[in-house]
Amino acid sequence: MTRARQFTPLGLQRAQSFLAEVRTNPSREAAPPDDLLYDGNNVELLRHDAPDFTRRQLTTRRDAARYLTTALAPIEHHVADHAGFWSWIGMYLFAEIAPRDRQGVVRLSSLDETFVVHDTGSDSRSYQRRYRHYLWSAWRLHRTHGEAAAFLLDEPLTSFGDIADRVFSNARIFNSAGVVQLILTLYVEAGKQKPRFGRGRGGLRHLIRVLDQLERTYDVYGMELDALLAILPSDFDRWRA
Amino acid sequence: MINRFNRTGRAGIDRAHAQIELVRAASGKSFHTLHMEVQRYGFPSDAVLQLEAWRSNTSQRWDYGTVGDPRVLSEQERTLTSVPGSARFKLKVVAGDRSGRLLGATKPLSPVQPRQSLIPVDPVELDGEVWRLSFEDDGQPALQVNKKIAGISETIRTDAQFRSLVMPQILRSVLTQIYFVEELGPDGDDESWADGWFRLAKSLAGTVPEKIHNDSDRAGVLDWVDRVVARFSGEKVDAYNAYVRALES
Repeated sequence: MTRARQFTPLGLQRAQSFLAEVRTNPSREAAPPDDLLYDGNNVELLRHDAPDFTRRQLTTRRDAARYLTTALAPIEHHVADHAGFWSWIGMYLFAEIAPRDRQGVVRLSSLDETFVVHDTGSDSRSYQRRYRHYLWSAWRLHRTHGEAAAFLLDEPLTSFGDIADRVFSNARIFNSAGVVQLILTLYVEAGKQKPRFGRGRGGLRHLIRVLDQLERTYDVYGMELDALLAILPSDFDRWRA
Repeated sequence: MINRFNRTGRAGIDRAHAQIELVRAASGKSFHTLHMEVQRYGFPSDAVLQLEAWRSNTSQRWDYGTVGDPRVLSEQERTLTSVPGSARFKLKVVAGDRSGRLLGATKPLSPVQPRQSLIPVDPVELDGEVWRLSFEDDGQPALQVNKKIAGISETIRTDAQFRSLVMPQILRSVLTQIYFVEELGPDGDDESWADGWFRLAKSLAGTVPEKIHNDSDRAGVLDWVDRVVARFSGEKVDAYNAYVRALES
């Protein structure tokens, strides 16, 4: 068990070096060194009332969301967008959440942002990629959508299927309760993506284009599910069933 | 009542009646202040006021209550947490019947930056570099500076030697970006991030060329950029004298 911390700029830099090293030399035992997680040059205590964390296996977004929601409840407003904390917790739980191949070897994506969050300036890419952070996005998904996003919560923490990819790559969609519910209502059935939902008339890509057009007349990303369903053209009727 | 409606039936809210100002808080985050005058448009009192900010695929929204009962948001609530300081804004007036129908909206609004700065300064990780000019997807520039250098943001504003060496090159790069990469000119209908740069250039050179159409235009623009930068160096940052004084001191 350890008290929550935040990375210093140097710590964040070293965390990125660690991720680069794991990509170059993947192994089953890959884990950040203790000094990266605890040394005063790399980290600072988050705040006096910061919660304690214990390492545990987190398989799905729901696992991560439950764990983090409980742990962060007293300070959730403080950490909601705290780059230093989310980067540290990503590294602290690295071995428990890192994607692995069948032999158990850690295989990282090319995006550092799945584990560490860059401090934000005017660079919009750092904001966009924050939604790829495995832990932050799971916690935020649960916080924003709750059980309405059950399909996405039950997916593996490190997996981005077609629907998850669309939702997590666009902050307007991610933050819109109505649009996320609309996508899941149209294209998910019994916990699975409907076949051939992505392309073609009435498919997910078509939906995104139609929503853009409807924005001329409606506040699309602020609307509730029922209101969105009411204005969809008939192209989407076959997916409503 | 103002009768400016487009073909979708919604009223266009004039920029003069919805202005955004950005202020950088001590925490380093920016928060916005919205000055709005929407009562004059005759919207129903239950119409909902939504402010949206976006940049590329990022976005953030604020609920400002209704036309008849606007909400007052705290500084913390108005903080930009999901979009960068270079975001643009739109104020929407939405029907109060939960249909989502837009009754009115502004065109995209560029916030008034603190000190009327044309270019935001962002302390970031830059390894061995001191500064770097970065351009967003739509070409809007930002001056990135190495956050490991203590007081670098203040140095940029006040250090004459630094300014004499860096600012003319920034101006040259931005004007080149505007004409040769973004292919913009001063005649666009919509408000653009480049407008402030056109105004600055015109105040220095007296004229601003139209957007580039052919090779002859290119040569003319390059000459014009040289003139603007020369005037800027002499009149705005006194580059030569500032640098010589720094060498002598």
